[in-house]
Amino acid sequence: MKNKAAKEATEDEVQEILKGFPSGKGATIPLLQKVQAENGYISAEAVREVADFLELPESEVYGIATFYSEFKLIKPGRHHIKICMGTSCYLGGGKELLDHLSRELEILPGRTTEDGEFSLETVACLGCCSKSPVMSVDGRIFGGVSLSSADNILAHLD
Amino acid sequence: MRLLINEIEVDAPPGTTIKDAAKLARIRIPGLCDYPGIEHYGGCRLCLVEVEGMRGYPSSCTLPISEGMKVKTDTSALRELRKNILELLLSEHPCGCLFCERAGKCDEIREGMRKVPETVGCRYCPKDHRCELQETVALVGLEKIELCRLGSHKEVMRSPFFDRDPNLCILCGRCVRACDERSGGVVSFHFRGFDAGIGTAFEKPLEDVGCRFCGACVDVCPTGALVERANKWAGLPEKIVETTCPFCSCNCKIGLEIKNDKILRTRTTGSKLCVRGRFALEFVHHQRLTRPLIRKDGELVEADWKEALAFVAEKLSGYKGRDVAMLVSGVLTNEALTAAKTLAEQAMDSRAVAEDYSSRYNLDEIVKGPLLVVGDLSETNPATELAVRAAKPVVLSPIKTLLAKNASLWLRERPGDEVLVLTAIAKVAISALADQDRKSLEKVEGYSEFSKSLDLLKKDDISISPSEIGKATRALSRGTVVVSPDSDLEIKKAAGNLALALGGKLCLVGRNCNSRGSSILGLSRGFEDTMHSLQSGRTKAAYIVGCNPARASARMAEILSNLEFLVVQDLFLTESARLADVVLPAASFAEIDGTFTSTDGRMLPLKAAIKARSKSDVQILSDLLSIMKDGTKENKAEAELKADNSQSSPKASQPEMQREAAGESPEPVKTRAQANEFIILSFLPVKLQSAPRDSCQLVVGPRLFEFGSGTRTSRVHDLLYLNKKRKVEINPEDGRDLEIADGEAITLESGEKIINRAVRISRRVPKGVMHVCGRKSEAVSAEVKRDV
Repeated sequence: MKNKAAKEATEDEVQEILKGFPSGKGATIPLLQKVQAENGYISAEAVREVADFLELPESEVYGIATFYSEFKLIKPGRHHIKICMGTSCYLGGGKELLDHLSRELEILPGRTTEDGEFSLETVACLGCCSKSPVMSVDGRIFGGVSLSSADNILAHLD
Repeated sequence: MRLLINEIEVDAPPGTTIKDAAKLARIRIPGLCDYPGIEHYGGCRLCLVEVEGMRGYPSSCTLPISEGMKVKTDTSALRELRKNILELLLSEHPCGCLFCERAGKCDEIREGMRKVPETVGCRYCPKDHRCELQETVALVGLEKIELCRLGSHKEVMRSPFFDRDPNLCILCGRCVRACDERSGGVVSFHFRGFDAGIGTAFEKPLEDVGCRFCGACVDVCPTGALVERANKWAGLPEKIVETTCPFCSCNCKIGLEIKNDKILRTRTTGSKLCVRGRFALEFVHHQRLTRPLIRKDGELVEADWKEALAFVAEKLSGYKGRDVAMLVSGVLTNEALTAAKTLAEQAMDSRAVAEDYSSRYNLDEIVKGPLLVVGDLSETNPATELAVRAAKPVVLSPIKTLLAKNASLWLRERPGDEVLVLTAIAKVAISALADQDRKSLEKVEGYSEFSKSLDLLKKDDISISPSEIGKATRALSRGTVVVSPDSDLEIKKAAGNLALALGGKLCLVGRNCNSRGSSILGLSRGFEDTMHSLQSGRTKAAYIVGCNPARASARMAEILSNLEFLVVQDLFLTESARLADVVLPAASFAEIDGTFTSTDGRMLPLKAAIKARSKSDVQILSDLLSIMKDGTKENKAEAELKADNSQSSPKASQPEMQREAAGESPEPVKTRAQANEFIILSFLPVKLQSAPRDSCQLVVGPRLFEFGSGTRTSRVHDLLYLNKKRKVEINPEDGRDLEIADGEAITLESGEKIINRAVRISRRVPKGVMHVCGRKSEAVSAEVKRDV
């Protein structure tokens, strides 16, 4: 079943998570966090399962999931690229870097390539402004990234 | 509570908001998110006021009044604030229509497509002149906007009955709250900041997420973001005619917006309409018959009224008593029903019958006491269901309906088990009675047989546990048993027995707008007899008014086609009319004056809103009566003239009806008098063993989107579309066992019935049960076949 993973992540763990919450509605966010921790993102099936479990309208759970940027509704790629859009990185060429990768990978920020290899997103600051522009790939930080070095980094990922 | 608003003393009950209190004093405070009848929100910040002794500017739509409060609603600081807030709000809304120097003259001077560039927001808006933004801008006194417009163009979404234009949405959230209030929860706020919008989960189409298309969201929308698609560009109506909804027995008050002799839209006028009253009245304009048809050489050909009526009168005079049947229904007015009854009795020596029954009840009264609800009222009588839902009833339903979710106690019986459960509750109720009460119950006719049948009940056969039955019995003492109109006759009988045992009332909810009127006229009596003699071939001729038996069942179609002579009087060339020898076109509810009888016995007015497309039922029936009674040819023309001239329809002439009409407050229903007979139970054959693999129980339930036999609702385009999309609901566990995924097409076989449908996996149905929508509730066993 397609939604089996989502179901396991909800039904089995939900009871544990629900402890200490006064009503079902208050558990929405912890439950969504748990689903995301398990599956890496929140699928449409998971939204439905969570809504069903908490007896909330599906649209409300979707509303909560889309309100917080922490929640991802699109399956992340095998490699996850974050481009820093903090002031220092932005001025240092972060925007050009983002536009370049967006063109190269043929996806908008926040999306995943069709083959599921790469996902691209922006972050507000990675905490190493002196090395602008900064990019993070699968958690590894690269500083002073030029357009060609970015291509190079992606080309040498396994 | 007294308070001062702008130095004016206002007296309002505690709990009133400042805004509502100001309204009492005729002080207008602007505001776009507040709406009567839905939860207060305080989101738009336009209704800010100054309250002496309070810091800042509280929103008057959320702040309750307190004694001696001093409020100012119109200071220069407030005016400035409101202008700023409104300007910010409009930076995301097209506002050409608000500030264009030619605003208002737009329709007269149309030298070009647009008056100002589209970039600043000149566009055609279906809500022009009906838009609350236009009103608010005038009220706040905003004269120009200096912010540049933000936001990109978003796609307009098309749904059945209405369009959703996110570009015109101001995110006031009224629609979200209105939908929540009906327990829909179909739409919510999504995303954040500039991306924020209102919609369904993953932008799924409304019809896929359980929207019931009541239109509550459209009614409350202050802008053109949500707008009816029918007559979208027709502008303002010429007049609004207040009348009564012609569908179910909720008898909602509606306002018809009329322009160019056409119904543009329906206004709710305070009622909580469902999709039928709100959007489905377009049947009035759909391929109506306007001239009588007579079958000549096997074909139905147009004829004039004189010829048709004379022909009908001549043919009908050959049939008397049981040779002829007069079938009517509760969709007709009291006047038409009376005319039909008179015609049948006086000219045909027969009687008019209708398969239509409604108890007499006052909904406001019965919801104050304990309630047990059987059947899915949300599909048959939505407004009644809303009222009942608020009262937190005990609910008997295998399906997890909205009512079941809101129940104080939900008895989830095995489908088909209803008679058993109702009787089990009755048994416990009787055993708990004090001796004195039991003695009075013993005097009721049929008690001994009934109590004997109670001994046949076995605990193990009943799908509800004894403890729950006990709980229900305790909760229901002297309560009302409410039964939906599609429920099986056996269930209605069992519910009557239970009402007696509980010392409470039985409330059989009527199907049609005038079921109560039909019951008062006694038209439900003799229906079974008439059906029996039709089925046995004893009856040779029939006159059918306002019902369509041929559509409801294939068997009836066969019976009707075998009759010697059949007259059908209806708005359209219905399935029954196609079998007729004479078809007489009638006027619709929107074209006549008349009355329906409400469930509590009031006369509800029906007002002619548009020109009649044909003669009214009353006119046709009384014309026929005078021709048939006078008989002689010389009198015919004269009688016809007379009938033509008498425009006023005959007033309800039945003494019983007059009595009901005269009684201002409906007297409390006397239980013993109302259901004064215990009916011996005949248990429905229910399969009690668990369903074997690959087969399960099929529950057919009524459907909101198809009313009665569907004669009228099938003439509404978007309802047809919604009916095509109906699905079979299956429990996730069954889905897993049968390896059926959501959306997959399956074939269900149940006896002769074969149903091909797509599947919806849903916890609404219990394991082992499949639910489909049909016309009448029934539970049968079925087998699933996979489409290969």
